[in-house]
Amino acid sequence: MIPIRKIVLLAVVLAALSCIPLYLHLTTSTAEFSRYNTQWNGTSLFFGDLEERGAVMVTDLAGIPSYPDSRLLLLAPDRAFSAGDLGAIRSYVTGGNTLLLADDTGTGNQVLEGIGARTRILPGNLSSLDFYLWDTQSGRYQPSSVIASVTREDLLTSKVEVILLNKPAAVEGGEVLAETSLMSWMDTNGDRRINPDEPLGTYSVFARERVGDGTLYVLSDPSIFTNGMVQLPGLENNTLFLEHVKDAPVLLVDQSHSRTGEAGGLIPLLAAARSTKVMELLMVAIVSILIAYLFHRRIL
Amino acid sequence: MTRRILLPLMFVCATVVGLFIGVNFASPELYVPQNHSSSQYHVNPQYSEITSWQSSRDLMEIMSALMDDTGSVVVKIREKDFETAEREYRRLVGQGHNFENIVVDLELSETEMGEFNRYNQRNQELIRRLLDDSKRFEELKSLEVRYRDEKNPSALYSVTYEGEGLKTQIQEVTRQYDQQAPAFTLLGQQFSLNTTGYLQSVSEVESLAQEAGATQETRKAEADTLKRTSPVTAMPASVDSVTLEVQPDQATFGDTLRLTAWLTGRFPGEQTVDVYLDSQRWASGRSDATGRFQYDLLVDRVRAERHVLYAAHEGVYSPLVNVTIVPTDAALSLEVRQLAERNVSVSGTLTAAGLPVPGAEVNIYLDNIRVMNTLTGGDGVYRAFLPLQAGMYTFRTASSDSTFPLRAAESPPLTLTVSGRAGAQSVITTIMIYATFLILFSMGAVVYYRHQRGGGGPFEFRNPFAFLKLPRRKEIPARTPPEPAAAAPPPSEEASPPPPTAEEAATTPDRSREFVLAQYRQLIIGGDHPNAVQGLYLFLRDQLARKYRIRDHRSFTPRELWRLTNNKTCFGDFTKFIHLYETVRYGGAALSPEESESLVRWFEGTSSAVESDSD
Repeated sequence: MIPIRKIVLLAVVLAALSCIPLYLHLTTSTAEFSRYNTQWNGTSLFFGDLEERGAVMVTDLAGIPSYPDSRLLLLAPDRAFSAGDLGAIRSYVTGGNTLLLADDTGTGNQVLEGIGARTRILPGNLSSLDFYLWDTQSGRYQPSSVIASVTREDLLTSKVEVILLNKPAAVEGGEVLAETSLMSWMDTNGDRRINPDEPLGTYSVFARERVGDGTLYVLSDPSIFTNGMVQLPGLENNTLFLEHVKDAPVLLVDQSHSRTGEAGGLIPLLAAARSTKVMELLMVAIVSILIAYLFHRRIL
Repeated sequence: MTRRILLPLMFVCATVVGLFIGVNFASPELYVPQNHSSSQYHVNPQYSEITSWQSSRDLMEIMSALMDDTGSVVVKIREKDFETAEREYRRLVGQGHNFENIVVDLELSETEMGEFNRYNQRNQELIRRLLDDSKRFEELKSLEVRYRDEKNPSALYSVTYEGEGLKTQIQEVTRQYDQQAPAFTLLGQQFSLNTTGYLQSVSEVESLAQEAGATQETRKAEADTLKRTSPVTAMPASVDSVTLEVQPDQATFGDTLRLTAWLTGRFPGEQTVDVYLDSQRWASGRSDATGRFQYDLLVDRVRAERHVLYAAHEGVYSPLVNVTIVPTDAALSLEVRQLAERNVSVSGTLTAAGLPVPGAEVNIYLDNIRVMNTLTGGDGVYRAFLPLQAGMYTFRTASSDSTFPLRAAESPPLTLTVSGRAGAQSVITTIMIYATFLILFSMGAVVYYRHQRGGGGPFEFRNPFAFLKLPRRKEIPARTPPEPAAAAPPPSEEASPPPPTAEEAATTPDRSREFVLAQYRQLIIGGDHPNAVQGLYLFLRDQLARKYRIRDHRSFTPRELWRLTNNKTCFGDFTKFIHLYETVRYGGAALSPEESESLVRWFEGTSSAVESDSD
């Protein structure tokens, strides 16, 4: 007969083990582009690196003009910008700062219009015969895994030859820094083929524009920041490109209008707890006391 | 205290886990890779194979090479360097295959690249004809010189006539090459290709045709001159002249061309007559007694273009006759059905003018992608089998075989949902496999059961469900020993222990019992009551096993062991011992000094009774 003490011990171990997925579930998100999403479609890896570099997470755009000589990353915006927000961004850019907007839905066009830029994002399913993914399940190529060639040397494209994109849109206007090959098309019906009403042509995917004293960069694909893309082997060019993006004296990352800031459940609470050293120590102390008590009572 | 904390804590934990599971239970999301292979914003690269297809570069390079190489082959033909032209042509064909493979792999058949591929294929076909005709035309030149030197007008005439057919062919190829040049050039320009080489090839082909025409005119004139000036032979030929009439002069697929030739001369009857189409012998037969030869020819595998015909008999040639074959509409039917699991049959018939078209190429398209080509049989029926994954597909077939005078035909599209279920054959196979397994399993079980029942062999049958007959725990009175013999059933014959041997009976020395008792007392003093009573129990268990030859006694619970002593002299003391043992060992109760002494007394009583039992 197994002693009750062993049963209790087993139960406690099982309960502790079951808490691990519970904790993971509560502290992670499945939202697209979310920095709390550790899956392929999240940006936890990119943001983990940003945090290590001391990037400032912006929750109120009104404050960004107070960061001179900085770079603001606005990745995958998904909500409307107020007039105040647009005014702040305009002041920020025209004041000599840099804005990098990465969007494939067209939501960012409000920002582009608001700051007086001429560059626009053309939403659509941009596809190309220059691709890097082959769908093993269907045995067909993925034309939306577009390989774009860098056409102009820039601070962000230095020594980068190609940028590998994932379901990108296109960019219209500005100085073209990277573009697709001639054999690219907007796959309007999504059949992953070139149809007669889908003409071939070259599309810009990364462009630069001077706005006031500042610089605007528009990238038509925020997916290159996701974990799935960051972890993909053999993407040295993308890694180098992301390094250039992160390499700024002061890096601001918008969290107020971006999908990267999306969270749910206990994530904000736990994130806040983990962000404070005192709280972190307190949590460790509580767990330690609990374990000590269980040992003292000879439960463990 | 521990229970008061632990139980609520575990209850809370269980509730939290239950709620957590309950929330997701309402809308479970089962994890399969397909569900996570893509989203609205991106595809999951982890479920794809990484390749590095910069297809545009490859395609552009090949397309550029195709246009350039076409030009260089034609230049070599014009220069009469047929060896190099042949080598260049093979290279061109290789490039064309590479291009076609990429077009098929990337499903570009219905795009500009697919169109480029079709133009290129057609160009290659025309160049092949041009190369062959030009080579033969050049060979005729040397024959012409030889026959002229031999002053052999009839042989010269045969050369002239063959040359005439070749000239017509070259001109026809030139016309077709010219015809598609603007569209092909435009297509190349769309891809920013350098079309200079190709355009040069067009003018080279035109020049080639003009040269052939001029050469042929000269050749005819010289043949006429030679005929006029050559001396009359001693023995005149049996046939002086041949004339040919073809009715009608314009035909289409399925029509019949009536070829009528007349031989005139000294002995025109029953002579062999050959009819040539584009310098190739097309029909042959013998003339009747009057020198008349008639042949009805069905138009089937003849290109839709202008052709030259002539009849000949032993170096006497008829005048040239032109016949034009015009294209006609063809009909292509389609039938698709699933034969077995993921195996689809695609079939249909190609007909034109109500007649089947045999030996024509038919392309099969799946979701507008060419996946296979096949040939029609003698009855115009084509058939192919495609292994397909489950899913819905649109099938279509098309035929545009240029060796027939037919316009391109296309079947109406058909949609078929290929089910993933197993076909009848595979269901039967599955049932057979399972049935065989069950039969074998049942046979094994029966053999094993009978063997055990028989009691022989290395096994000893023990009822595997014996544990179901054990009394439940609550049936045992709290501190009162159960009534002997009344509650316990008599041990079965099968479970009764075998008699012990004298040697085994003597292996329980009193010194060991004393040792166990000393250990017991030490543990009692130390407060470890459960382990103390367990030491006594284990001693008795081993003693009982040895005495009554109980097999596998270590797997018996105290209750089971107790039941086996039902009819033994030790039963009384052992009953009380077991009851108190369970209370301490499993109930967690501590022994009072009185209980401890009682336990020792019952222990010694049991042990002694076992020892002295003569059974």
